[in-house]
Amino acid sequence: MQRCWPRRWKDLKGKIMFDPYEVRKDFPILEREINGYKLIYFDNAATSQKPKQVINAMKEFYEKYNANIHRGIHTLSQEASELYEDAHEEVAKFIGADGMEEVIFVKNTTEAINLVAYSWALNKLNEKDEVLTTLLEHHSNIVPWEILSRLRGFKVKYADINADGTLNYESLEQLMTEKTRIICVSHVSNVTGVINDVGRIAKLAHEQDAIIIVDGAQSVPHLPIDVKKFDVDFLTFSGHKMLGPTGIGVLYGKKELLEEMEPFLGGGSMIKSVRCQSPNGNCRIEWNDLPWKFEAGTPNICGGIGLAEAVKYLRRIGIENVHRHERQLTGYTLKRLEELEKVEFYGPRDASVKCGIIPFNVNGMNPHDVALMFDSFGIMIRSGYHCAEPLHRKLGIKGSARASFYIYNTKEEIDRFIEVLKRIEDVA
Amino acid sequence: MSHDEILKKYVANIEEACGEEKDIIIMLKHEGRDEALKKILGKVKVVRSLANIAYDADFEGKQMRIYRTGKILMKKLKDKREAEDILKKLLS
Repeated sequence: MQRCWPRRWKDLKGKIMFDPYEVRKDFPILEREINGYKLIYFDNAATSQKPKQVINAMKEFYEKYNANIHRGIHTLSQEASELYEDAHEEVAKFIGADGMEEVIFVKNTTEAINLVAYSWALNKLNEKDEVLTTLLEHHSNIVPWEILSRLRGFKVKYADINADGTLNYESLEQLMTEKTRIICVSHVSNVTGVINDVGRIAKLAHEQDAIIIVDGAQSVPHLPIDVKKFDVDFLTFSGHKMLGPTGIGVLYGKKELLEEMEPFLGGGSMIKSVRCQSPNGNCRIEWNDLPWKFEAGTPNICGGIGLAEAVKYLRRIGIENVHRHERQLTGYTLKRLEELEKVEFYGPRDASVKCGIIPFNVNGMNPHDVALMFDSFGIMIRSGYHCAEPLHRKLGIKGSARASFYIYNTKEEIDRFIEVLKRIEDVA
Repeated sequence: MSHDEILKKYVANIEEACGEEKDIIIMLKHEGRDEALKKILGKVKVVRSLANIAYDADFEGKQMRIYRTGKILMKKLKDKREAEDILKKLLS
């Protein structure tokens, strides 16, 4: 593959910080051929591929360190516990948290949002309150609030979007009232790739004594995030979208909020003691320290270690470089898409206000057909609602095809994507 | 071979695609894919060939696009059950 573009990102001393063509060598799956063509993976908003460093770290854990964590006094248990705790610290550093007490490992973003819903909102909200979210959201940031609103009687309100798919801040501000207790917003839309100004929304929330939960599933893997700078109360994200394994995700929460919350799941590991006073009385239970109070039962130890390795990988190449690379790919793709007559794409045309996610349709074809056509040429994209039906309805479309990029994608892959898209146009 | 056994032999997955129109996506098992495609193409009426990667076809008034990769998009069906019924006829 020709190494002409994108250019390698260098630091001030001229040291190469990031070279997507070198990065590709770390991803064994990219060597695959699918349907007779070299694999082009443009479904990164659904899940990312895994570098050999992550694969090896997980393999090494099972080969050398596997044991259950905490409370075991043997050497293996101690080693596994240290690795798992270090994984929390690594993630805490990556997002600017104060330490591992603010980082809870969960299954995925969905579980993290549900944890806040059931541990915070279930106990604090009632029919007088309101939850404010947006039409941009993934179902995982809509459905938990709708379920809980049926239990607790509070109202869920949805801020509107503009014609270009960006968040309408005026609508958000208008819907914000003294009744608003939580604003739940995605940092980056999983459909349009639009980046929301979470710092501004956090300020708005705090002015009204509300809290803010940020769904970072599409931002943490791609943008520099500092939870203290943005002053967010909760941040949720998934490991598998940021080079890590599936089955591991993160809930960041401000320590003072996590301390006052009741646990989400009960069981082993999340308690310090359970004392049954009498045969007829309730047990006296003392919760464990953070973050273990929210990690009941044996956790996904290997997944946590894999996630930490993924975070180290992203730190090595520099998350700023990741963002720059994707912005360049996105800008180039948007420009090339304009060459096509039958292709309609959604969201802002300005690559600087979005991440590397491009939803589109080919006139006369349904998006699943488009995805199957691409599949025939070894190009993996996604189609449908992308778990964001309200946004699609607002945009007036019955679904979309979606291409999404990451660190190992290249300009040559986009050229091939456009070439195939032109062939698809011909048969539409 | 019973109809259920036929589906088990050739079909990996039948999914109702999300989106407004009720389209069903069928994924044939990799093993036996060529045999299944031969059977299906022998029974449907091929309307047109698309760049040698897919065929638009009609079977008993139902439209479908059959991909050489072993995926089939059946359009505007009621539900998965209807897709199963069509597949049983096509694969038997």
